[in-house]
Amino acid sequence: MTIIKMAWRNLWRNPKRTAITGSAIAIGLATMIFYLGWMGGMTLHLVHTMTSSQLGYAQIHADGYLSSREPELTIKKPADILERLKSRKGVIGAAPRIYGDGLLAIGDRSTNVTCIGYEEAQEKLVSGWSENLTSGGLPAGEREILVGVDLAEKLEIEVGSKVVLTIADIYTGDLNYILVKIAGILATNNPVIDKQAALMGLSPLQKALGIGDDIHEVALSLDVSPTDLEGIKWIIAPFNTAKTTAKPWQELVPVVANMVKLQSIYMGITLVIVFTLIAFGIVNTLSMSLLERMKEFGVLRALGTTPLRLAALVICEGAWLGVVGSSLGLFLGLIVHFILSKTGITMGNAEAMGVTFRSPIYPILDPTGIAVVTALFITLTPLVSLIVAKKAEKVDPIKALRHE
Amino acid sequence: MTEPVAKLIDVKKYYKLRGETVKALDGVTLTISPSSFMAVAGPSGSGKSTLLNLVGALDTPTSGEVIVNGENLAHLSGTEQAMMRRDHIGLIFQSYNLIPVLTSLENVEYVMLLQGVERAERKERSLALIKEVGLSGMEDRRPSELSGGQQQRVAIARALVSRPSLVLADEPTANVDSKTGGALLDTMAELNERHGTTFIFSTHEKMVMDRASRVVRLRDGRVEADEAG
Ligand SMILES: Nc1ncnc2c1ncn2[C@@H]1O[C@H](COP(=O)(O)OP(=O)(O)OP(=O)(O)O)[C@@H](O)[C@H]1O
Ligand SMILES: [Mg+2]
Repeated sequence: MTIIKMAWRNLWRNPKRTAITGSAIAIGLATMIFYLGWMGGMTLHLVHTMTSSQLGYAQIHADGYLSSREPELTIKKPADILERLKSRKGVIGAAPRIYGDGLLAIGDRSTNVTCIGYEEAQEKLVSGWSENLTSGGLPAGEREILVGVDLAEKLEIEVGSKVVLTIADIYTGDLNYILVKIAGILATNNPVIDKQAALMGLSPLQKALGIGDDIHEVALSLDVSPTDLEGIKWIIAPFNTAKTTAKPWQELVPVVANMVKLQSIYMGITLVIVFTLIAFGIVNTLSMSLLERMKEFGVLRALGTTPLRLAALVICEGAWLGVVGSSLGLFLGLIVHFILSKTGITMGNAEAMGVTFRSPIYPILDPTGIAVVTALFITLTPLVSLIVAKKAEKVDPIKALRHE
Repeated sequence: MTEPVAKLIDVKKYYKLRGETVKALDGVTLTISPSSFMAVAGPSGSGKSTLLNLVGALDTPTSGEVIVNGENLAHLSGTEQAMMRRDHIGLIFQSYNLIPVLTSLENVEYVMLLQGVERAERKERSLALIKEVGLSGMEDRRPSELSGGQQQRVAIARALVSRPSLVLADEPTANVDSKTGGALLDTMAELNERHGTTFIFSTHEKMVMDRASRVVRLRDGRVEADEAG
């Protein structure tokens, strides 16, 4: 009969109270496990959406282009750099792009658009825009374009509509009017594309802007995890030269990267709040049990139990409560996790950081995170019991024996 | 002459109660020799429990000295007093006070667990004592599954199992009928004889006093009479 066994039996002397506090611990832990998975899912969805869209894992520009967006700051002789990128280890796709302002008009309706010249063969490996066609198909020739779904709605155009695209030559200012046909309509999760983009081949836009065969940007898709900043940096390092700058997505949109980092701080704060609430329950349960058994504690002291051992008994009872509640919570949390990873969590088209959550979020199983949170719950419970153990330590046998 | 098991020298225990001083013990001097089977008698409020608590190292006197097993209790720290109780003193209470979550066997074993006695020896010694108090076959019952008399027998076994030099019993028969009380006394007397353990029990029952080899009568915290039984 050890004190551990004794503590276990004592725990079940008031099964109802133990069940209530145990459930509180279990629900708290299950909530944290759910939250961990959900946050992980949100983050991954966010990062995945961003890196598998216009942004890519990394981008290469002419020096100064990123800060000024001056259209003249182009990458000259892009064939050379694209060739080197394709043979670089870890590069899956390298998509060249050109940007230019334009005016899209049909009948008496017109709107400003961002023209994007791209190359389908590579772009498909980076942004996968073409996978997001809601209607129509890819541009078949120089006189066909794709537009975003919101833009199409605003201008009341559909596949097959003929529109006039006006683009100015960036050097001469001469206006080029091009009659183009809508080949397809895109719905990405990126509002910039959906609301104002007109996508076309590289060469028609190069001609209209008068920039020869220069490009503005190369977006990359890489064979590493999008959250592996060091991996990305290593692959793109050789493309940071006197003329070109290569940056990982984390540096291109630092807000998102920081938000991902903040997630763990939010987790920590939530954990503290949840556990503080539970701690009150644990202290309350153990205190009530101490008061009810005051006479028994007196007897134990009278028999020669040292104050320290009595305190240890209380801590053991707290530890058991923690183990029971946490095991239940771990089980419950994993069940909820696995159910939700089958069904997904619908976010109702919420938008965050320029990403719309159109599709449901699937929670991510984070074994390390779950292990840490569970371990915290199991260790914090006996730690909280210290408060009550201190009281048990001070029990005066004579006074306690008078207790009824 | 042999060393006394316990000695009280001019022991006083005063309580302050709403400005008034209650003299629970008022200058008690006693010497208790080994193997005594001694009763402390006296009317309610005469100081019997107070006396036993002081000898049992559960309480400290206002003045005077309590010496148990050659140790002056006033010189011991709280933990040392706990060790003294654990190793040298057995306690029997009026209301049994067994630990409800432990079986008879585990209740008896408990003090040896504190002493760090080996598992096998614990079990052997406990079973032997349970047999001596006449409870063979009830080792695995919890206190709630035993009668009052049976619970008190477990308590007697618990008090003796650590082989103390002194067993203190505060009105051990007060909660049971006189027939059961008589049987409990038989058991205690037997153990006193066989193991030479000193017993001090308080009582106000004539029947119990008659069984003692020495009766100390208290009144208002003073020794009124000290006679051989
Ligand atoms: N903690 C205390 N505070 C104040 N007075 C106390 C305290 N403990 C005991 N007393 C008083 O000391 C006196 C002796 O009490 P004690 O319990 O020793 O008597 P007793 O002989 O055991 O009586 P009983 O036969 O009723 O058990 C009583 O007057 C009692 O009221
Ligand atoms: Mg009394």
